Order: sequence, then C-alpha cells, then structure tokens
Amino acid sequence: MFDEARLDRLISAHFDRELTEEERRELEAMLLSSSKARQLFLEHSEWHGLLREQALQAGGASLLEDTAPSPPARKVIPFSRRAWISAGLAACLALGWWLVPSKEQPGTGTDIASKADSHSHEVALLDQAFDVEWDSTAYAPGEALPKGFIKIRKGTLQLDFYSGARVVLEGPATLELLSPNLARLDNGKLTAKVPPPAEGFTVINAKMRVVDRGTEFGMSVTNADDCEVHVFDGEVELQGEVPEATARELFEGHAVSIRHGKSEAFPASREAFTDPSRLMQETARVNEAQRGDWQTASQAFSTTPDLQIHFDFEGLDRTSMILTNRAAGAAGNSHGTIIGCETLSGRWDRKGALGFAKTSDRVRFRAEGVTPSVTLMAWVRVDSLPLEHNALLSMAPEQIGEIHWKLDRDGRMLLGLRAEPEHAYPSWERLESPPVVTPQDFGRWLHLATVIDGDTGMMRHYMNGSEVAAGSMTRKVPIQLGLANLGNFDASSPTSPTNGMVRNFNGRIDEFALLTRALTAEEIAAAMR
Amino acid sequence: MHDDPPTPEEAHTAKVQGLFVQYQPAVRGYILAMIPDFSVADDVMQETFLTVTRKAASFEIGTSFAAWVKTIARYKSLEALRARRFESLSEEVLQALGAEPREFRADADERLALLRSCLSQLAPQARRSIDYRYQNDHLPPQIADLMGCTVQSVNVTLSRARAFLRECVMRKMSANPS
Repeated sequence: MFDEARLDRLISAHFDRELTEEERRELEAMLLSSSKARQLFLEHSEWHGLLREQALQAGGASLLEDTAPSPPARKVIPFSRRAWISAGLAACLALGWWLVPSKEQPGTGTDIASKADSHSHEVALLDQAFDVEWDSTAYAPGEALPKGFIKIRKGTLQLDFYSGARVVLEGPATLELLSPNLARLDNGKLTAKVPPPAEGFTVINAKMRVVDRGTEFGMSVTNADDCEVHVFDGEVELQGEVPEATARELFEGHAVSIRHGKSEAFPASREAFTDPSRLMQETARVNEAQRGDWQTASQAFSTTPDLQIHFDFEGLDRTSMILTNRAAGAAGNSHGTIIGCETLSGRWDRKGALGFAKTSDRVRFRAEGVTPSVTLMAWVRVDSLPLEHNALLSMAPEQIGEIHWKLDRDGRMLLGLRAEPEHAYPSWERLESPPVVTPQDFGRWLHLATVIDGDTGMMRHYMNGSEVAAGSMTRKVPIQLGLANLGNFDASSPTSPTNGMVRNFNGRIDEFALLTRALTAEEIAAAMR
Repeated sequence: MHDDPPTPEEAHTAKVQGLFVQYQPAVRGYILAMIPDFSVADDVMQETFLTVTRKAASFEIGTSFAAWVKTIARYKSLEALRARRFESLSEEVLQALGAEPREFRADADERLALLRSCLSQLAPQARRSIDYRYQNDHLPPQIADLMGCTVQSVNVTLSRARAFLRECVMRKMSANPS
C-alpha cells in the first residue's frame, strides 16, 4: 500500500510543476505499483482540467461580453475564443477576473486574524491620515497595519511599509497590503518613495508589476484596464502584461498610461499626485488647529470643581524638574517633580509630553485628603507592556485606601484599592477590565479613565470615553490620597513584600487629572474629546 | 455568412463538435495529466479539436465518442511530448495511466456550473490563489510572490482549495441528482 496523503501531495506537485527529480521517481513508482494510485491520479487530473476549463471560460466569457453577441448556432464557441486569444489577445484573458476578489467584503479573511494573531502579519505603519473616510476597518495614525485591504472613500493616508518604502495613498482607493515589499492597487492613486534599502518595492495592479529601481514614482489605477505610472526620481521597471511596444524601463520625468492594452508615453506630472511636502504642511496645519482646540478645552477643564491635580505637560522646564499643577486653586505644594523621563512630543507636534522608559522614571506629586470618590484620567501612549504590572499611578503606599492604577501584560486595566492592612490578595478591592490595550494600540494615544464612586459603591474603567468594565465594591473604603508616583510604583517601607518590585510604565503621558469626585460617563466622554 | 441549410456533412461535423464540447473538460484533464504545462496543453487541446473536426466523418454516431476522442488526445499528447523536451512522467507511467479503465465524463456543463458556485464560496485568499493558478497560469513561486507569502503556504492553500471545491461539487451533485 502507499501513503495516500503523500501521493496526494506528489500529484499536486506534478500538476503545479514543482516535482523534484527524486519526487518524480517516487510518484512514478507509486503509480506503477498500484491501480488505485493511478485512479487517484486520473481523478485529480479530471478536477485539474475542470478548474482550468472553468478559468478559461470565465476569461473568455467576459471577453465575449465586450463584443457583439455570438449567434447561438455557433456551439463551438470555446475554440473561436481560443483562436482569438492565441491571436494575441492573451492579455484580455485576465479581464474581469482580477476584480472578483475585490468585490468581496473587505477583510473577510483578514479581520478574523486581526487582534488575535495579526501581529505577525503586520507589514506597515499608518503614519498620517487626513480627512479620511474609511470603507474598510479604520486605523488610527501610529497603528500597525496587517496584511489585507485598505479601502478609503476619500482623504489621504501616509503608510510606512516595514521595508522602508513610504506610500501616500489618495482616496477613493483600494490598496491591498501583501507584504512589507508588495502592495496591490486596485484603484486610486499613490506615490511611493523608496529609499535604497527598500529598492525593489513593488506595486501590482490587475495585470502589471511596477518594481521600483530608484526612489520615487506615482501610480494611478482606475480599473483593471486603465493604469498610469509616473517616475519622479530614479527608475521603475514594468513587468507582467505590458503592451509590447511599451518600454519596460521607465526613467525620471517619464510617464506611461496603459489603457485597454494600449500604451502611451508622456511626461511625468508631479501635480497629478499629492505632493508629500504639501501633505506635511497639511499635517502641521491640522495639528496646530487640534492643539489650539485642546488648549482652549484644557484651560476650561482646569476650573472643573473638585479637580485636585491637572498636569498638562506644557512648558516643561527640565532645569527646574517641576511639573506644574494647572488645577485652579491648586495648593502650592501639589506641583509634580520629574524624576528621569524624557521630554518628548505629545498628541501633537508642539504638545509637551513625558516619556517613561527607565525603571527610575516617574513624576512624584502629593495630593491631599481622604475622599469617598475619585476619578483618574490620563492621555497615554503605551509603547509596550513588558511587565506583569505596568503602573500608571500608585499612591500612598502601605495604607488602607491606597490606590494602584495600572495595565497588565495583556492590556487589561487594573485598579486596586487597599481595604485591609494585610498584603494578601483579598485585602484589596479590585476592578479588572478585559484586555483593552492590544499590541495594535501601541504607539497610539489613548484616553484612560477610572472612577471609584463611594456613593454607589461602583468602580468603572473607561477607554477613549467608553466604559470597558464596571464592578461593585464589597467594602466601602475611603480613598487615602498622599504621595503618588505617576508612571511608576514604589513601596515606601523597606520591609514591604513589594519592595524592589519593578512596575514602571513604558510609553508617554501628555495629560493627567485627578478629581475628588466620580465623574459621570458623559463628563468622561467630554473630557476625552 | 450564408443562410443555406447545412449539408449533411456539415451537420454531422457540428454534431461531433458538440460532443467534443460536452467532453472538453475531461479531455483537458486527460491532456494535463500528461502535459502539466497549461500553454502546451492548450495547444494540444486545440490540435485535438482540429483533428476531431477533420476526422468527424470517420466517427460513427452511437459508438463511444469518449473512447474515440481519448485516443486522439492521447496520440496528440504523445506527439507533443516527443517533439519537445519538457518534464513529464515517463512513457511507461503514461502508458499505465492510459491503460487504466476510466470513462470520460460527459456532465461537464453541470459540473462547471456547480464549480462556479463553489468558487464563490472560497475565502478571498484561496479564491485569488486558484485564479492566479488556473486563470493566469501562474506557478506557486509566482503566486507566492504576488501574494506576499511562502511557496509552501501557497501549496497548502491550493491543495485545500482544490479539496474544498471537489467536495463542494460532489456534495451539490449528490444533493441534486439530475
């Protein structure tokens, strides 16, 4: 007897012309020794023939639809089709069929994989998005993009492929990300800037491969039969079903259009595509407008009743190490002290932020009093979650009423409120969200908020203005404010079992607020905007 | 074009050609078994058709068309195999395959229609791999290149897609006996 699975593989390899010499001998030995193996082989060949026949008819059918209908008496149409095709219309075979997959819902295959294991399928980073209306899964700037479709109805995206190629995509457009070095433009316009390490970056359309051999080109695709390629700098190579008279190599300043199998050469036009420098200016303008709006909102927020601490991380002065508490009526001793941390940009280019990376990095501040309710809010950019617990805030260690606010390794938001003096697990009131910060969120700005409501005995977590977890407390514990660490954790007592524990945050924070009352969901959503 | 009624010879030839169309996928599969190269197989297919047309008069309606066309296809395939040096199975193996009793199926239209509806059920990536392979005549390394994945994963995708399509068509046929 023979190994049927092995035979199956060898037969497939034969039909796909992949057999090695050794495998061919193995297949031949199997086929010679068994009638059952031969039957299996012939069955495979039948299906192979059926698939090929179907494909040829599908290609031929769309070919015929474009011309006058044939009289029904001509039963032997498949061969008149064949004759046409071999007569030089081979290029048209593909007409229509490439479009089939694009008619399917975007991401039906990719969405399932996303979140769970899309990390290994990531091929690019979304760097900028302007005025974009998404027609597929929406992504935010800073997010990693997995293989699959990017569809936009309007707007402009700037994508940085992991190979190093930078692509500006103008909507309406459908781009399929295939690998760090390869994308398929079904329709829309793009410009690709390809630095030397990414040379060979390729954009395909229905029929053709545009392979970069230089530094910058533009490509515009209307449909399977209508494509333009402009070379702004360097050289590109055209491969695939390119009309015969077309130059396969296209140099700086030259462009070619290929429509219905005919090509035409003309000078490249920069103006036909979004200029990346214009895009930069647009980014700067939008950034500035958003920052202006935020400043107005932030100043108004500073006068919110019961606001104890409001750090906006603006005007950071590294020599003084002081982080100013902007809350109206803030006590003089409530400013923060910056320990370590890098001064970086925040949600917008000219917005200040602190970067937390080293185990020592933190902002230390003191809040006063005992309060039944508290709201913690922060705009954070998580860069990674390397530790079991990654502290956002820890306060008043070693006391009943102390708070620990953190993210765990899986991106859950955790809150701990100490209710008993012991260090044991049951001594704490806890609220744990499902995983909300996934690796896809790393590098994006997120608004995190947690509310402890002493009146209703509820604790709630919010992400980006939406509640992600809620739970009631079994013990009502007044919250003890005191010495706090933003972005870190420390045990004040050397005898504490938590002494020496490393729980520092890895990322940036560009706004933080602490209020001694429970904000409503509406207030949190408003603060998030 | 003329509107004269066809002569009996023309009518006979048209009938034989009609039979050929009915068996076309089976003939194609038979040729591909010997000549896995699509474009060479397409040429052999066309030569087979031309021979069938030329020799239509020698075919007696009512006898086995399948056996007749199989002989012609086999002869044309061997001719192509001998004329060009390309990789295929040894003549001994091809002979054994040719001697294997297996009737050509004549239910091509039905199976093609079912196959089309089964193709639409394939996941996008699998569908695309099948299209690349059968419609554009790309081999797995080219498909891997176009899809941004490994040859091995293309092989797996193709084999799963073929198995799915086979089962899907068979299921529909047994659910829907004509």
